[in-house]
Amino acid sequence: MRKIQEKLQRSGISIGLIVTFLVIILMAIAVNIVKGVNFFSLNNLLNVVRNYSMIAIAAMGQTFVIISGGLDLSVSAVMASSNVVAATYMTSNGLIFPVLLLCLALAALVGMFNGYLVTKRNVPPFIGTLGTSIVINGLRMIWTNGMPRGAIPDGLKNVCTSNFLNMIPNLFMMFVFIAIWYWFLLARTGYGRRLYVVGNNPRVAILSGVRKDRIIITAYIISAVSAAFVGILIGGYTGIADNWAGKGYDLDSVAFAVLGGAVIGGGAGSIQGTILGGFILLMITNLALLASLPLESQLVIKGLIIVTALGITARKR
Amino acid sequence: MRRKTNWILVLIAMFLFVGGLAAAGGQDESDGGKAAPKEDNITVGFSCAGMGNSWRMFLKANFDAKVAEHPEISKVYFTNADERPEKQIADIDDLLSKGVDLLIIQPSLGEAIVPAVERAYNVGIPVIIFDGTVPTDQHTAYVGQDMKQLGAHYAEALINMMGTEGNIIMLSGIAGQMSVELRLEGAREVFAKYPDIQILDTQYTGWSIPKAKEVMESFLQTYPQIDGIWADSGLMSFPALETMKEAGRALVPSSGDNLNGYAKFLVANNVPGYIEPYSTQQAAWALEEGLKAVKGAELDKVIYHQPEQYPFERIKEIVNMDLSDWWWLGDDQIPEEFLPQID
Repeated sequence: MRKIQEKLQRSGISIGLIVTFLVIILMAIAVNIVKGVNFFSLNNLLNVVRNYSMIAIAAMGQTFVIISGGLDLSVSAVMASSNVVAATYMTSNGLIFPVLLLCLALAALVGMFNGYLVTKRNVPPFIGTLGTSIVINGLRMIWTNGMPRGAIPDGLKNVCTSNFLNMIPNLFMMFVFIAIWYWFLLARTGYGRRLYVVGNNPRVAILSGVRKDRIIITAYIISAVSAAFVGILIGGYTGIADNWAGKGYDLDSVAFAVLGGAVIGGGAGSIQGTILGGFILLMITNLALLASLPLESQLVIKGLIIVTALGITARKR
Repeated sequence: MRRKTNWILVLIAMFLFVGGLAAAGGQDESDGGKAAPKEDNITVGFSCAGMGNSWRMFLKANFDAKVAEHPEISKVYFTNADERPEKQIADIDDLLSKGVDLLIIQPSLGEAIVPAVERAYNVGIPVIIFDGTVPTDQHTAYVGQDMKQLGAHYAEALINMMGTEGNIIMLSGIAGQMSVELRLEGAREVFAKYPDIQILDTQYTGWSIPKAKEVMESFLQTYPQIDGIWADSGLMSFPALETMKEAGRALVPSSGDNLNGYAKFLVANNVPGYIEPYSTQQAAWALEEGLKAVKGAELDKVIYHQPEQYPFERIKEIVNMDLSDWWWLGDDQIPEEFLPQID
């Protein structure tokens, strides 16, 4: 048992998270017995992972920022803006890839600006990214006059709503690819190691010769680029350009990461933790829907879980 | 000396008290909303709640087009509160200081702007409220649609399309919002007359497209047989139908408002649907009624308008498949110079 615990801890997943996961599996079985609705049916699981994939990509980006000791509240503003830019300029299937790159490049600039505010101007991350979010939303509303132009091209809709090998949602495949890449970056590269050092103790990081500002700015760029990518995926998934695409994803992405063991204040967190934390949250909200509870109950459940998780991590610190 | 001062203070207090009572009494008997009739050189103030979506843009376009039909209007002042009640209060005061003859208000948050609305009414000009209520009777008229009837119309149309038996799901906006609850109430009263119609589930999805898809996916898991979708907006029925299509389920009749994306989906997939707008004409209606009041007419306190209803055959006739999803069916009839730039 102790060996398993040590192994889990080394992998960045707490025993509490595993226990929570098992409790939710039991809840799913209970819903199955009481309501006769099978959470574990292939179709339902595919629905859950399809919905999960988009927000999980944003949450993994957010994880980098949280580990660095920050918080990115401009996630949904970036998502909505990339969604609207994509719909405007993806006028044909051939333009999907170039416009995607344009959106990611613009998002990288936003991330760079957030990082600049936090590192060079010493603006608290909460205030800095909230300010950026307000500015981006304002610029988008001026640009669109409140109405998104254009339309999502069929090619993007097909990619985002169809399945790989007629079974696994393409969105989930993209999530898996990005998750592996982010896990490698965080757990197996010098950048990842330095990010933890910066988040744990910025002063020690500077004394050790770590270029703190560059590390933090990169984290904000990763978060913004992830958010922009998700904004485009939301467009493909819903089939409609939306000025408020990704609304609420800021705090959801923080919730995924914190539930997965990331600590507000920095220095702790992992991609695998965020993935599992997020999956637990999505499972609960899906179960609430299957059990015919009102959608609003999701808010209560989410809120309670976030508060509990934050309480636990705060005690740890 | 001290005693004398006390007496003077008591007298001042009594004077203020009596004066206050007189002022309050005077306000009760004020001739609110009834200035001397005016036939021309009319200035109009329009305090808008916010402009953050396409519905609001088309609302303004319809309003501007209606203004152009009235040469007796000499000037229109338009303010945008950006969904902030405190700004709307300042906007209303600003419009009053400009001496408008008619004030049209789209409340951002009704409860919060009561004092400003009452101030405007007591100035003596007609005050017309639309698209949201303000809990005071100190306004000339509320102009809008009967929400309960709208919900009932959606339900009746759904029954016409699917028959008097079957399983339906209901998708609505924000729980507790009065207009949302009234639409649901109207619909439920209609469905209650048909014992073979079963309401499988009702969910509030906040008019969020991704939420509507998520909810519909779980409905498809939970309910193997869904025969109809009652929704109070195309923003709900459109993604719900799309989700059914993606899941390979047969598409079913539905209801919704006049979001062009919804109309386009119905026609492209040849699936029957019923559209009745939550009209973008409401500001224009408010202007029409307000002008009557300025010219001396007595208005009812609540004035309902019935916009055009679009059964499926009518939708097929008028839908413009080339226009954006964010247009509103029927609004391509607005003169071009007033249309918002969207495509």
